[in-house]
Amino acid sequence: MTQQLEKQFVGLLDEHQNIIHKVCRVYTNNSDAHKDLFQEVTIQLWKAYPKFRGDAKFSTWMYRVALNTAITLYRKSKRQVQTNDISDFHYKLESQEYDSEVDDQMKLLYKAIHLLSDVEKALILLYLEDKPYKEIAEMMGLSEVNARVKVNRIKTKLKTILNP
Amino acid sequence: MDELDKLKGAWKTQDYTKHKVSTNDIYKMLHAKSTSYVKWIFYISIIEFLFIIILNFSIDNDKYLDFFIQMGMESILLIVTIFSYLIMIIFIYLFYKNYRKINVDTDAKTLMKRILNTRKTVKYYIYFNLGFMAVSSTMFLNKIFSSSENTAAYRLESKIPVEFTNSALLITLIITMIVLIGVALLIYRIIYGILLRRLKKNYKELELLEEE
Repeated sequence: MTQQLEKQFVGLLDEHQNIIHKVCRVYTNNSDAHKDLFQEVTIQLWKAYPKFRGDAKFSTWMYRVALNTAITLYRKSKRQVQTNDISDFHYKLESQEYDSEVDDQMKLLYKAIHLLSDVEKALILLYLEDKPYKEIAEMMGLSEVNARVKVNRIKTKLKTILNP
Repeated sequence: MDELDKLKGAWKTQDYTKHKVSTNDIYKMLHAKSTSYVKWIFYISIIEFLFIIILNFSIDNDKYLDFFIQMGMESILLIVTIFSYLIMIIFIYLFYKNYRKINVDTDAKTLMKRILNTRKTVKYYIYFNLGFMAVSSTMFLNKIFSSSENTAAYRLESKIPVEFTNSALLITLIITMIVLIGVALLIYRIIYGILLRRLKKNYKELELLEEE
């Protein structure tokens, strides 16, 4: 039974592992810390999986657990502060989409996101993922209006950084 | 369409294949040890409870018992001991109840609130014990200095030199009590502050958003 559950979970996680990578990318600044957080998110997802009833989509549930882990449960290790060199751990855009200007802007976007607070990082990540405000509000425990207001403020903040 | 909206497209097409974790590694991760903050909070809280329990037991030894009997305080001591154990059971129950409510798939704000509530249970237990220590020490001092026989018995028991006057003894005992409780409180506030700094900051940020 457990083996079957494990197999089912690993399959789902493998299929949606990009979600965890995106969260890790926003909350860490080097590959070691990224791996640490990836592992912690996986452990938390696995621990919570028996209670996952399928009321929400697996991906939505994953965002919730991954963000909660990154914001609240994850203890930042010393490895976290070793480097802040974005080129050390930058994800390339898919080759067919590659555009050096956009790539530069993405690098800058990550740099700007790393300057935000933990809560702001979560909100902007969900916005960039195109999540509806209702869902963003539910995940963060905010009202929809406040989630919208805050996201707009972070967008303004980011635009200022992107266009100094 | 603004600049960030344009970047949304690029955001979604980021390629993670280079960092893809194999299913084999995912299986291994399922059985790896968690370094979760909640786990640390749980262990630290258990250590705190154990510390208080051990402290209670270390005070409750025969030497002190004899002295309390000599002072005619055995019934008070019995009531105080039963009361402190009862309070301890209540606090451990509340701590466990709050700890069980911590659920990683609730919303971020609720999760933070539940962790803070769990810690608050331990914090109140520590404060209760420090307060309890202050009250019982005051009662104890009051009993010692209420009659010359009791004072003499205490001096003899604690081998206080004759040149040390009763007033000097009382002042020394009061200062010792205040310093001990003060230092314990300070150390606890520092540990508590370090442990919850990040969590409190994030929770405050979410709360402020709702207040605006």
